[in-house]
Amino acid sequence: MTEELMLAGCLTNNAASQEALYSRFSPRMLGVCYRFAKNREDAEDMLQEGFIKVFSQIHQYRGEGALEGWIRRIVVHTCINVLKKNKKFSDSVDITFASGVGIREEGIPSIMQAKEVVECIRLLPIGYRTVLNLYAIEGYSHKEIGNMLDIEESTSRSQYTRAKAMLEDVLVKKKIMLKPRAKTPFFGATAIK
Amino acid sequence: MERNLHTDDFEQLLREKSEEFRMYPSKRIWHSIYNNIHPGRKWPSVAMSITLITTLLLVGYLNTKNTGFYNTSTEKLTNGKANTPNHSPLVNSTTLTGQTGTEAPTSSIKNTPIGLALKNNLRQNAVSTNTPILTGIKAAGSPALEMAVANQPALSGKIIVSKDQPSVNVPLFTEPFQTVAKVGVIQKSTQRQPDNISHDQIVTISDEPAVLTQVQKIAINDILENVLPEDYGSSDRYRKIAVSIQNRSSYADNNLTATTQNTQDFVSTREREWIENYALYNRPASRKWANKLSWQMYATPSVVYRSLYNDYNFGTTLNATPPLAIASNGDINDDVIQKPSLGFEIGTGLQYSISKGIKITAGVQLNYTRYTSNAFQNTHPVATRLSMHDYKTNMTYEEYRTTPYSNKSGPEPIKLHNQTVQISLPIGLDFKLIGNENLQWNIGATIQPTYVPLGKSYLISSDRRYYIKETSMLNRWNLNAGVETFVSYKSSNGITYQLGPQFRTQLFSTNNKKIAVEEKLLTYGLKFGISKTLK
Repeated sequence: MTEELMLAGCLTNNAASQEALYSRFSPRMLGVCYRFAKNREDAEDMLQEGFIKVFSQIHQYRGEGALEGWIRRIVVHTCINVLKKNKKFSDSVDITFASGVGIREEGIPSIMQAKEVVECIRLLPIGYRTVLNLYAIEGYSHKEIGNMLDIEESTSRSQYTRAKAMLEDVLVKKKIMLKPRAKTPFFGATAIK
Repeated sequence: MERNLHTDDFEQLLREKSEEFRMYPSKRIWHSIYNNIHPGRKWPSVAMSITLITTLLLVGYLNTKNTGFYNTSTEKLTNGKANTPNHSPLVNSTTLTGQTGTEAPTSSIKNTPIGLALKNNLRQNAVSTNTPILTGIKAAGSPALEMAVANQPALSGKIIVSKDQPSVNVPLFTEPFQTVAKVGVIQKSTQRQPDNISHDQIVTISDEPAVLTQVQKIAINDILENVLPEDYGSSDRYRKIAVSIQNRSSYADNNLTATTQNTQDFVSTREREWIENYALYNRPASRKWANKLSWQMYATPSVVYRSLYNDYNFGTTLNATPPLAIASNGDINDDVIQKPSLGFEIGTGLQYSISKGIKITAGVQLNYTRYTSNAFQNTHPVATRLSMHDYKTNMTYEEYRTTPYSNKSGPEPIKLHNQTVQISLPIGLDFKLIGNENLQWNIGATIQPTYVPLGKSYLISSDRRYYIKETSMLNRWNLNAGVETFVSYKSSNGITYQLGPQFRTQLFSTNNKKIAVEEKLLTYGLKFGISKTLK
């Protein structure tokens, strides 16, 4: 079924078209939810809520941009809303919470490729993880992230910096990634050891 | 949204890998979405689910009952000389149970400890020593099937082996098949040790199609699929099974996108990888009722009124004596001075959301009802009569009673408390009228089958001049109906609070239907409840 047919069917509340659309996009969207969620069950709940919104708001899709991007945006916002409802999340976004958090070597799963990267992301504290997901993978700006998470833009930046450092460390330890080269210091500046 | 490209190598890697990552949701998710976007079409699926569950339960029950059948056929196989004319039991029960020298009766496997001993041995070894119990299965040519049993202190070297003799060992394994299959899975996930299998440790199992039941064949295949090591893939059939296992293990590999240079460093053993992938992709489906079921408890302080009603269709008295002249011919409610009193209701129950706006509720509830009759205490009891109905003849008759309580006048005013304790099972529906997820206005209705274990009634006499204390005529079983409206608020910690007025009415008289004056209680209360969603 083509995307146009699916869309037309979904606009008329046609169950077959809705299922086709769901079948096409749900695996990737569940992957998105999984990166934000605590576990698979939560991810599935997020996915369910997201797709209900997709089908109820499908008439708002104007064909500007890819359908997948539109669905993804709804799903990501649903994930954020679910996380924001969780009080622990808002606590953990606090920058002080995250400082000094370490990853235990034995907590790192030995799994492969895409899955292993995602699993490593999921090892991060939830505040770090969310900012990293939104900035590095979903492509939101720090300003947008600040608005979405009700935090300062600067908080988002610092969260991301720490998240990135921590994730790099994990990925290097797991040999998914080579150790990043040390950045060249600014002209005239001295690298602080 | 401005989709920025924050591209350094690290972010590029993250983005690429995340884009590759896919997970396949369970069917349940689509069903939930479907039910949500097509609320009108939900009922068929609910009915189908109920039918399916009932069928599964029935099949499960019948299968459980059929265990006896297999045991019976087992006994036949073991005993019947016609079936096994020249076959001595292959596994000596004395060997298995450690009672060497004692010939255990082989006539009934069910009654001998062989099956249990083997089952226990298998289980104990699987759990405590973590040693592989069944290290291999291979075929020795059709139709015989050989099962190797190794590293079993209780079995190793003690099992009599005979390839030539078709054995009667199938019945022996009939009972512990499930255990064996599970053990096989455990063994697969630990370490395969196919080496130490001597020919002496091979138990031959007859595999005659006419003798083996379908269940047994399935069970054997189950074992084969779970415990067969690659080394034993000598015959075509088992090579296929070995390949199947191989494929199963490598399925996750192929499914997980292209490999990187560092792949080898990540994979310590194939088993580990298999377990990890299995755990990720084959998680049990989450509970269907999760987030739909909530537990509720509530309390309702209430004011209890009563309604009295005299059915004048029952006219003629059956007694020989003329009826007492009644004090007034007016409404019986005007002839008594009765005041409402405070009662209460406490209850707990479960609520199940069948859609966003409708919940089914069921639970258990305790009610205490009370109202007061203003009366007078006489010094001495007075004889009076109580109007009764005879439903067989549709006539009214009177029974003689004595009472110290006067309705109209007496030396000392007194308050008589009519009270009941009721235990109910309210079943009902709650509808959301307006509101969002957190704040809602709802209405609800329940029907409440009720048992009245305790109670005390003061009945008005035929002439309406006296009150007669009566406890034996209480209607023990009754039916109540309740309606309510309430505002509910869901807090951030997931607890929902509700508050609202409630009206409850009794559908049948408090007393036995033989009492001429019917009394129905009306309760007005303010219900406060809390509920918590179960996950």
